[in-house]
Amino acid sequence: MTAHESAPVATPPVTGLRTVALLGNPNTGKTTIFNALTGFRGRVANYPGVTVEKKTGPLTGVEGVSVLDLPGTYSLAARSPDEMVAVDVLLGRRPDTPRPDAVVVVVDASNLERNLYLASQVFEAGLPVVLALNMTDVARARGHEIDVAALSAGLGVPVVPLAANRGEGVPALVAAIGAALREGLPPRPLAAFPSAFEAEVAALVPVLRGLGTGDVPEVERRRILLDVGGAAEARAVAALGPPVAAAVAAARARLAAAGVAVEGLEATLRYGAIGALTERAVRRPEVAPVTLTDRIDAVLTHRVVGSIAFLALMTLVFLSIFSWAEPLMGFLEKEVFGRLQAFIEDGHKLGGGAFENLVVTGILGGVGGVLVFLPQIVILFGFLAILEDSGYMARAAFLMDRLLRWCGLSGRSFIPMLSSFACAVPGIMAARTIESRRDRIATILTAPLMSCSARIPVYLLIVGAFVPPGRLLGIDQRALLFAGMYLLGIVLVVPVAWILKRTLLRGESPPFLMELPPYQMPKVRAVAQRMRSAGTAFVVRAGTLILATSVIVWALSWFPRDAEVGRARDAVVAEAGASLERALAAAPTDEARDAARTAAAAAVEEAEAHAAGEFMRRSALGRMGRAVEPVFEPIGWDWKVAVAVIASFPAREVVVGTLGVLYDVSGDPEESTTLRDRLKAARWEDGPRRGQPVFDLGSALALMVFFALCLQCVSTLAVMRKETGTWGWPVFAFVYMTTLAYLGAWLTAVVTRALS
Amino acid sequence: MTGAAGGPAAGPALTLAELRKGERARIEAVEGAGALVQRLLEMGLTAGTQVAVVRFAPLGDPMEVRVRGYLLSLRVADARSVRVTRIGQGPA
Repeated sequence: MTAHESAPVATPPVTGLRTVALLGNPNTGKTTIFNALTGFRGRVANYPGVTVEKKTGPLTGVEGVSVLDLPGTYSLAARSPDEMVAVDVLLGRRPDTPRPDAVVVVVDASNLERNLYLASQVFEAGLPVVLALNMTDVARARGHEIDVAALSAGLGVPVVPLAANRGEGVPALVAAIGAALREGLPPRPLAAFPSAFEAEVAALVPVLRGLGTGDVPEVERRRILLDVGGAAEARAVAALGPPVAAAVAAARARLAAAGVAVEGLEATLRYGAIGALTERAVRRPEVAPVTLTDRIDAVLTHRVVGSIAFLALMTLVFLSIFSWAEPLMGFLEKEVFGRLQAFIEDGHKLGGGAFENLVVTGILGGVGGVLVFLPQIVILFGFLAILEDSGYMARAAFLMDRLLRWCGLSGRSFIPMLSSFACAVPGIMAARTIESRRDRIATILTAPLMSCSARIPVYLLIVGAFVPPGRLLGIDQRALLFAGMYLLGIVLVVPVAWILKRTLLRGESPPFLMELPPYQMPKVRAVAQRMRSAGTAFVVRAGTLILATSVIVWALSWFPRDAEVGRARDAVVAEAGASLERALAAAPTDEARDAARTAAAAAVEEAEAHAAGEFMRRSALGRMGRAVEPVFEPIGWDWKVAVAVIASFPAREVVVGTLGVLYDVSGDPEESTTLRDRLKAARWEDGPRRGQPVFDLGSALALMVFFALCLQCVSTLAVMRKETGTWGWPVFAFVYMTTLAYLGAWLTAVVTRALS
Repeated sequence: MTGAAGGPAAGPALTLAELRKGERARIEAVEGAGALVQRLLEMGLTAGTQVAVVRFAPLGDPMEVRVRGYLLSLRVADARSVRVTRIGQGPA
């Protein structure tokens, strides 16, 4: 165990591995305290089956204690399975997590009443509690005087004052945790519920028999009774059937008849008890002083100035992931992976056969495809951490909420959507900041509709080849089309999200109640930690899947390897070499010799390109393309386009390279104008349209629309899987986007042909 | 939701949604049922508590209020569930 600061270790060690859970409202500095307690050694995982992060780390200074950071929440009244995680962990009802031996409730001292609401709920969980009274510096600055002894006596739990941002109070908290683990007792409830209510809670025991093992704990029974339509009730009814629903409804009716209706009961009782306590223990100035936060907000949420500041900031964020990451990505792509690939291929250091190609195309291409996203993810998460830790994120959501409500989303979805213009992968990861699960999934499912940077090569190719330069309404029509592709995705989010929120994601969204926390200076170390963990999570968990898919698609495009094609190519190459020999011998001048060499090199290159195309045609992938050709025929694409579409499943931009291979283009197809010419010259090889061009304006624009709307990106799918915890959502997203892409492409082709 | 139909900005049916920037009020009741009411209550908007309207977002919605010493943003439609009595101007 590394010594981080000098926490008091004079206390005897706690025996056996113990767990202390950290719980608190959002914006209370809980993460700062977690980092201080664990010395930044926290590990992030996911609770199985829900989209909640599980953070654990060893407690610094006391042997054998693990700290478990529970998600920030205002209340234990869970509305969704995600919110139920905290309740279940506290009650030891999650098989994947040991029941904590003590709970640290982190409260914001400057905002004590609302924070004590959650604390009073935790008091009833039957576990020893330590109250971490954080942000005492902020409270003091606002003129709040808190009598810690009176607070501790009134609550019946140890209270540790902290200013965790400055590192003050952490050793005392460690000591209090140690004491609570050794000899702590659960506190008495803070708020007394009427006896009629307690009787109904007790009467639920036999009704709920069979829900989990043993008797259902009191806290869960309270939640079932109190939270009308909540997650606890829903789970009990799902497990035990309608009799439970009837029993709970009857109990609530009896309570209502007795004058203690459950609606509003809990809040009234708890805030009543909290009010009585803070009356004694806290002194506040009559008139709240104008804080720095008030002054900053007067600017940053101002109608005009605030909106401009917001636009400027978002432009900065967008540019950073779009253009700052670009050189880094280019460096990784060209200098690192490109050089490595060229190094291996140059002289065929791995034998030049299937293995070399697997390494160069499948593995290096795949790993490169993963790592190339890293700069964007790390930079975006740096910004997200700064925006969130400073308190601005809530302001951004406040400003944007009205706009995003058009599609049934909230202001929280803005940053994920914006980020997705650079890349859907960080965008989807950014959706973690959306509290409502339904909104989060709707955002994750629609974010890939935003035109990401990987679409640009496809747009460039098609626009360059098929759209003549010229002006439409005075604007460069190529640029107009480019902008149109971006607009297409934005416009489609509205109906797609709207439909999702009324069908698959139907149901009550939690109300958009959002605290606007006081502004704070973000801590460099905390920001770095978030950047690092986002990067690691992506590479480790999404990366493996991306790599596997790249290798599979590589294998499909390589096997079966027709030896005849290779022999034909070798014959051409040999012939070119022989004729070069003859020409060199006969050539009278240096110039003629140079011309002969150039001609021979061109012939070899031509043969290589032709063979690559021929191999692809005869591979499993080529056969798949031929098999699905009829599907794409209404749009006007031949089997080569079909192959390119299938081959670009790992990543959209692959389509350009694949088209290059299939249309026998030598050299770098992405930079070459010859691919454009080849596409223009492409003719149907057979069928009724034999001899006609494959690409007219209609089928070319259709290809662009297809790639604007499809979800040909295994990284996005892998991240969706990781963020939603199930394969269902990524599969759904793939199906709906492919359908949209197909219909969009077909419509584009039909309309364009009718117009031209 | 009961009795949250809006109406003129005066009289006994005044709601939080109808207050203007800078106005202060006392919460009389949070009306209706379901998740919204429960969340509003949990966030401390209980009967008898004072609220002040700090500002509205640039597009007029959502609104920002100060309650129990902290800043809370809520949508105007949701604020209609909070019945209030106006008690004056100035910060809470």
